[in-house]
Amino acid sequence: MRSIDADILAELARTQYTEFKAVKFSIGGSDYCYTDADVPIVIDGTRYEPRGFKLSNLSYSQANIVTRGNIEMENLDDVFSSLFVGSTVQGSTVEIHSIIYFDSDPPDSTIVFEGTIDDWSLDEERVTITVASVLQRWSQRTINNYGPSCRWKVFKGTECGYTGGATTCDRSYQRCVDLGNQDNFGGFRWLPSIQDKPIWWGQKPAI
Amino acid sequence: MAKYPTNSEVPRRNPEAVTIRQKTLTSQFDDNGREKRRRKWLYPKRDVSVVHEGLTKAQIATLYDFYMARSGSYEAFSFFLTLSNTYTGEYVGTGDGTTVSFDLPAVNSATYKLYVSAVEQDEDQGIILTESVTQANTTLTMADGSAAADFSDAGVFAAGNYMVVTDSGGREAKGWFGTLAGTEMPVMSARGGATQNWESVDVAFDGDDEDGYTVEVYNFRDYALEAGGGADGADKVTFFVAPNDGSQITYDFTGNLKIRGRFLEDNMTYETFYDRIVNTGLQIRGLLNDE
Repeated sequence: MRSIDADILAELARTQYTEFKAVKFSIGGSDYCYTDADVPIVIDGTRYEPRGFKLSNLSYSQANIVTRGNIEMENLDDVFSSLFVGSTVQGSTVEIHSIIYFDSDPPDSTIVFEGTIDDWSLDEERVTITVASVLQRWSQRTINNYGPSCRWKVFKGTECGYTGGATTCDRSYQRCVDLGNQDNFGGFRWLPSIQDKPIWWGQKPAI
Repeated sequence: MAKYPTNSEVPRRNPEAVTIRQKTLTSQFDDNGREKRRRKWLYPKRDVSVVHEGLTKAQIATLYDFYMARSGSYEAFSFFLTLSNTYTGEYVGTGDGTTVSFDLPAVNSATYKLYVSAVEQDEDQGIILTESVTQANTTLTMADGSAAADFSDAGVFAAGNYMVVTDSGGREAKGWFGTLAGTEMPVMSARGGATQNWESVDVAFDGDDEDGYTVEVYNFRDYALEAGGGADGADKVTFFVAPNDGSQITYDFTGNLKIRGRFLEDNMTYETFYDRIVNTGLQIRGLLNDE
């Protein structure tokens, strides 16, 4: 569960309160901070400038983790055009904050969502940014499956590299040894030996 | 920067119709009869509807030219209300740690108070004492002509005031007043500093000038107000020390409110424009003071 300051929770529980959203982009070593408040707000030395934006569709996965969110930023002054068009912003860090205004104390904020820029689109008025959670990387699909047999599709192909006179190969390590081409063997021949074995990080657990 | 034609230039209906806009999100889940509200703006905005009366053709042309020069709803301008009134907590701007001058949302300010992050600021009074001092003088004569200075005038000999001593050759020695100790007023090298010394002394300043000196004491406080010194003739405030980054500046005053705004409509025929200014009202969309 996310830990949020008790004062912020108490303020949110009131019938009436003042809250703003803020976003912080970290692109190319510089921070770009904006709020949907009507005036600039400074929290912990970070100044958030007023700029129109909308947050939508913070989607949660079964694991109770925000995986994606969409931010639609006002771009009538082309602030984002040069920033986004002129560089590769995919992978840049994005934080979405909730800023709470108290009656007497200085404003405080808490992070609602953080992730990286996944994709974006730009037009004359706005830039629409999809932010993906860093945890989403756990569920990425691989482009290759690995097995104990050689995975090169073409015998004598680029990856195989065999140039001798043999015409057949059964993709076993022994055949590769017989052909003197074991340096290019494309399989992981020890995989069967670790199948169904427990895997641990750090020190071997006591049995 | 531009200023909407004043009431004396083009007479208008007085007072103008001003609509105050706030922004509040209210919960739509109200089955239980209770609601939650979230404030989205810290400061209100004011929309104005202006109706002019008894216009000449030249005055109509003045208004139309002003509308055209603003490119319809494109360019913002300042609008000064005709009626003087008392206002509280008007937004001036937000400090960034370096900017010292801000245009106030007012003109003809009277009985005013300025706040930075809700803390009231003291106004600078400028030069509060100018005296000629002979070489033999070791004390100052008070501005009201009373007896030689005995440091009893707390307004003059107060910590944080600034003294400039000029010799007969025009060379200056400057420093800040520290805290009065008995009959001695220490001169410090910095305001509120701990080092007793002059802040600066001109080369060849004559410390034993038989022609005497001129002494000026300045009351440098938090800010100085310049009536009509800002953009579009608004009052302007200049701080002695730039307000901190993020600190909000607000203003209580009696006077004529300045509203930053822009025309609401982009598309109008001349006939429509005429109808607006003499019948239904020309609509001005309000902005914040620093927009």
